[in-house]
Amino acid sequence: MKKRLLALMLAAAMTLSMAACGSSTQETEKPAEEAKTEQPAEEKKEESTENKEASAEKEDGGVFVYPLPSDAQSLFVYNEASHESLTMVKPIYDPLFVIDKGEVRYYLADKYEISEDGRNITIQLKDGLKWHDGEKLTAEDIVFSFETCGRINKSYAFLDGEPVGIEQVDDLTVKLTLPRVSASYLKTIGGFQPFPKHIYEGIEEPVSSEESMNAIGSGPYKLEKWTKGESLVLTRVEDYYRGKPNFEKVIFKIIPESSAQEIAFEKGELSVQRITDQQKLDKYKADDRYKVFSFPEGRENYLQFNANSELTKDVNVRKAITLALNVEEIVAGAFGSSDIATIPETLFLPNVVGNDNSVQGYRQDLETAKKLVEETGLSGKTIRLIYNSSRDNMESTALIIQQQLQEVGLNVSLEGLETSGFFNKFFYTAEGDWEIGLNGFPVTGEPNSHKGMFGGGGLSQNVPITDEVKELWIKGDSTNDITERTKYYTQIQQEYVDNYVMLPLTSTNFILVAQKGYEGFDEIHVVPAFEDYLKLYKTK
Amino acid sequence: MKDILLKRLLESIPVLFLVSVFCFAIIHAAPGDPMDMYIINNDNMTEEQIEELREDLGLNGTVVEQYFSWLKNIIKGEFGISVVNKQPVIRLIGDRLPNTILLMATSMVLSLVISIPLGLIAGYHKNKFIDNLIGFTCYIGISIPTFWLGFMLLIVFSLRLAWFPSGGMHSIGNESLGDTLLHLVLPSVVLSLNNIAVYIRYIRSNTISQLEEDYVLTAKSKGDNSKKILFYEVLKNCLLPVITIAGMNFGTIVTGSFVVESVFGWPGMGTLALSAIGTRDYPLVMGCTMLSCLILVIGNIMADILYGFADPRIKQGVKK
Repeated sequence: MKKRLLALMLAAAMTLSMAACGSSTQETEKPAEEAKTEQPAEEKKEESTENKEASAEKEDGGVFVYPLPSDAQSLFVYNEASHESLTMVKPIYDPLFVIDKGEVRYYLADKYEISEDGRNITIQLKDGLKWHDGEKLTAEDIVFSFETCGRINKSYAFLDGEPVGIEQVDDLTVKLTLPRVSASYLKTIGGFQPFPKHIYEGIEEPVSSEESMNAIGSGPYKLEKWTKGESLVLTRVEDYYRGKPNFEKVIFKIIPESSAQEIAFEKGELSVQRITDQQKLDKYKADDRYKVFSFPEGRENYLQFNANSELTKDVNVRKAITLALNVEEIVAGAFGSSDIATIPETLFLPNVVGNDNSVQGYRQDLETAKKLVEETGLSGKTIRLIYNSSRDNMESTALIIQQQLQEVGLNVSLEGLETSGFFNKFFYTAEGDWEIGLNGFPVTGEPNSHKGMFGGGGLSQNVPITDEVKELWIKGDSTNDITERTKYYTQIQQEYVDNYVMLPLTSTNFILVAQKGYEGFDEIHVVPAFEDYLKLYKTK
Repeated sequence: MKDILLKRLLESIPVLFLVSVFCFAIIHAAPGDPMDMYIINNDNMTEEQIEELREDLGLNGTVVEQYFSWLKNIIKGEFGISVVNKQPVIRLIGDRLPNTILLMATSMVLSLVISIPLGLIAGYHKNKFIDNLIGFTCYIGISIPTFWLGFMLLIVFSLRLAWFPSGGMHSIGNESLGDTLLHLVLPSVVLSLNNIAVYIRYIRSNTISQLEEDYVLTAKSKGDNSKKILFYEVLKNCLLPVITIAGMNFGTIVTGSFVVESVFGWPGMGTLALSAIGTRDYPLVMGCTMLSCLILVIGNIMADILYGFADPRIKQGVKK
């Protein structure tokens, strides 16, 4: 009897034992495109009057909780570049400066200068900067971070694969030497987020280091606690050099399922949530407990033809498919309305430097499309369409394209791949085993950032373009003259339209729903959210 | 008992080996290359650097060569480095495993505690209202999708009634046991519901057959009351199949927790494995898979041990 009782007890103990295991001023300036010298940011502080008035209603303290579907794998500023990682490290590490929509916003840098020949950039830091552990942040840290980026192959340290030189001029100044003139590099280096030399010196793999877990940075929030897979809790830096942040804590909460995010949000456990469909947008717009913020995400979704497919090598095949498609219907069906996404004319969105919006895109022309389908012998053939099934609205986009192409006698086979498999086919292999690919990319406002995917960069081996077009991309970046740049980038857009290289589908909006009283999200429209945490606040 | 244990341990070696072979083959058959994720985030790598990295990560050579390279490291206790985030796999798993074990163990306890009395009662009241009611509930429990149930419980008990938090393992800034238990309730209920239904069905049918045995009649003739007979005599004889199923269910609880963890944002192995699969992080996927398999094997071994205690004939048979 005793033994049998023991068996029962052991069964219970087995499970139990396992259980045991178990506000400040924002310094802004005019664009830097043609400027050789920029003025110090100190002169630009007058805008603070308006902020002071608003600050009377701002609550000092409180918590801002933002949901993300997955966690960062490291808190080193240059870990894998997922949207989640970028968002989570953003408030911890400040950049030097940000160039956006024609203005310069200074953070760690006080000013920059470009030499006469355009190949040297001198950056001066603000005085009195500190890391979160109290150590001084100097030009030595910038040089160290830059050289470490060179060692781990990050783009800041290279231009067309050639290394960019860096030297320390004094405690607060660094000088960069470019292998050639590059209009886009200024924006690139402005976004550089340095990390402390006294922490990372001598560490071979900073991304996986124990030190990266402590996340010593220079931003408005510092690490309080990181519970992997669950939450990242940041607390404000009281003596932050740009002023005390409004929220005492910023918390990133990991909630993989969007429906679960919605429940947590409606329960009041989250300050904001991102939405991507029309139904939810309408629901929250109609509810006065919430406020909807919407601005262009700076993300373009597009259809690309494969230059290595026997079928789509032919420009007339590409033309037939392009003219058979009705993009308005695709957007309405897959995204809902222009609240969620708008239709871009060409490869460049309107806010991209060098886009004078003079190039016209495509309009559906079924008669011509049908004629071309017959002429090219496409009728009855099957077009293979690949898309990233992990991305919102891609599958529904693919289904509508399939239906529309059926109307001109084309069969389309759909292949949804998760991210890695999709990237492998779309970017890294040139086997010609698909005709159409649906992809999306972040638009930074700098046209040269598209070069990698479209203009002869490492990811453009399947893009149907000529060597002449590749040359135009290099020319467009090799001058600081905005008129020259616009000329080259207009030519590039026209080439892409004329040769039916790709079909722009949507420019999506970044839509945030906030609990009433949470404000400041529409002040700076930069994704990943949010560029400047000092702008966020809760009303009293 | 030592013999049983040793025999079971030896038997588990080929099981683990075959699982690793199948798993490795399936992952490599899927489209995508882990290096893609690496290159896209390190945009200035030269061909030589890419090759060097392939070598370092054990991604050079044929699939067979890669498998044996991986196996060699596993035997040395090295699970490798995650391709995507460059952290040791063992550290990544170590961070999440205790959370999954907590969820899994709670679910197992809950399943047994609820199913044993209900199964006995249903069997004792065969074909009566209470039996029919329990049976009907079991059918619902078996057929209800975990994903759907998770969201329904969240909407009702978290959003509407506000009895429980909506997800995660702790409230921010509160790591007390009470807070963790509160977070544990909904995911463990969802995870155990299906098991409860299955266990009840087994216990019920065993109870019915046991109640027809002579020893029950003898006990009744000796004047023992029904409750005593049911919970002391019949229960002991109903335990064997429950132990078997519970051992086998160890594995399904781990895989079932993938969905539940995702719905409730529970920071366990499930969410880690899902993200590893999405990024073709071979070392991490293999680490998670092998661990799930190991848990299943351990579950079966523990079931064998408990068998010996529940039925002394098994132990005696081995001794002979």
